[in-house]
Amino acid sequence: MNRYDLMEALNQVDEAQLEAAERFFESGKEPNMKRKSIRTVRIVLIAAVITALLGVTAYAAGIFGLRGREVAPEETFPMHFGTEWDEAFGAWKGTYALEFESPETCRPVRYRFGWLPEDLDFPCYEKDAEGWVKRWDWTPGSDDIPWAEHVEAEQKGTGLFFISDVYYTPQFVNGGALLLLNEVPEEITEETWGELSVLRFRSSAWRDWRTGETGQLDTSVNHVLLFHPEQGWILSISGTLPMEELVQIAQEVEIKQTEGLVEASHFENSYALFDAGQG
Amino acid sequence: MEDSAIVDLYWRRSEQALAETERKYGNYCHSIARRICGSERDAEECVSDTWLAAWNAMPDKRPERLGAFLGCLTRHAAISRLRAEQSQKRGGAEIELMLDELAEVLPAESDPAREAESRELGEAIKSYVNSLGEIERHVFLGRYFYGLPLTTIAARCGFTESKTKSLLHRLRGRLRKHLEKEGLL
Repeated sequence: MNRYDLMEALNQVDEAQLEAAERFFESGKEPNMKRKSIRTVRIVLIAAVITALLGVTAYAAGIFGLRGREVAPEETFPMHFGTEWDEAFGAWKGTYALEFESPETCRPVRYRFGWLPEDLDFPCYEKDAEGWVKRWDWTPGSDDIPWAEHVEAEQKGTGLFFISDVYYTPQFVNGGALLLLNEVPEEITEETWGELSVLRFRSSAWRDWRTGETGQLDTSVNHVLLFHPEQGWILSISGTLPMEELVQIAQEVEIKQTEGLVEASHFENSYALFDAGQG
Repeated sequence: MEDSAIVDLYWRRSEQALAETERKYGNYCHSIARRICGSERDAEECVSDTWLAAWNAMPDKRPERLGAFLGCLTRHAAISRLRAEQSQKRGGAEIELMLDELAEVLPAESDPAREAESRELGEAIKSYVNSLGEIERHVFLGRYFYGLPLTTIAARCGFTESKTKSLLHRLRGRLRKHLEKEGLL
């Protein structure tokens, strides 16, 4: 048996399912959903203000080259895939857009966790002997995501999960943004942790990716975003774990710059998406 | 024209069947073939092979879902072409990536004595796909049946690209376990 046999064997999948998948991709439109207007409460911690007043850095959360804004319901973001699907999927939506001021190039990073809650089950998490999260392979010009790292875990017996991803600001320098999908943020806190700008918030999910169900789901999701304005990387730590636990994970994560150079031309699009999904 | 009417034309051996098929499914089959073959010219030839195969298959076949039926014929034609041209590496970069992903499911060396008949493998894959949730099934078929780029799948599902890649990684792992359980690996 070889890869062609496997590929050809897919021809025996039920025709009804093939047709359903084809319809799903062909329709190319986001379902219409009623979105609750975003109520953003911005809290800048006193500590962050003091740091800024001391003039430690030219950046500051919010403030420090990281701007969050609500996305109007009619606003869309152009995405291009270089395929015939451009027309169908050329406009993405989001609920909240994060825009960055940062260097146009940066070095890729790797990270490892210093602390994680017990009983986490990792379906897709590989690390090297020293515990650094394994990076996806990337070939320039391929369909892959440059220097991406993705960790997912579910807490056994509770259904709670967390996800982390790395993004690089050179992707966003040409007017792009990191877009929040499928969730509506409810409360936003901006902080400064040393050299990092930190954004954390709770949001409510409005689409369950496993069922495709939309609407105001009764699911709260938490996010902690670590942003290094001078090194140009963003680490998202998200999930249904309690915020306190996500914060502890974020505080004890170790991040190092590695060889290589990240630049805007490495990315197909100047927008990236993030959410905590539902699985 | 309704699919059932087109199928009737095939059954009556009317050449109008081919014109109606081309009109309704020409672009669809062409895009499937192009994603697999990576070139317009090869895709054109695959589509021609598809029409011929459909003409030869009906009658006796009466497909309930003509689009899916033609899609399978197109894939068969395109994969056959890809097999024949394997040594020349003429497939596009995207299909190479997709084939490499599928190869992860296979053991490093396949034992010819244990190789399954294609029907048996097809049945196993069919039952595996049946076991998936709706969105997972769309993602799996979108990638490995229709050959869609990750970015397209991510966009349609409203996922991040990382999440899409992670999901496909898990789906391949589950497929491997399923094939092992069925005694095919």
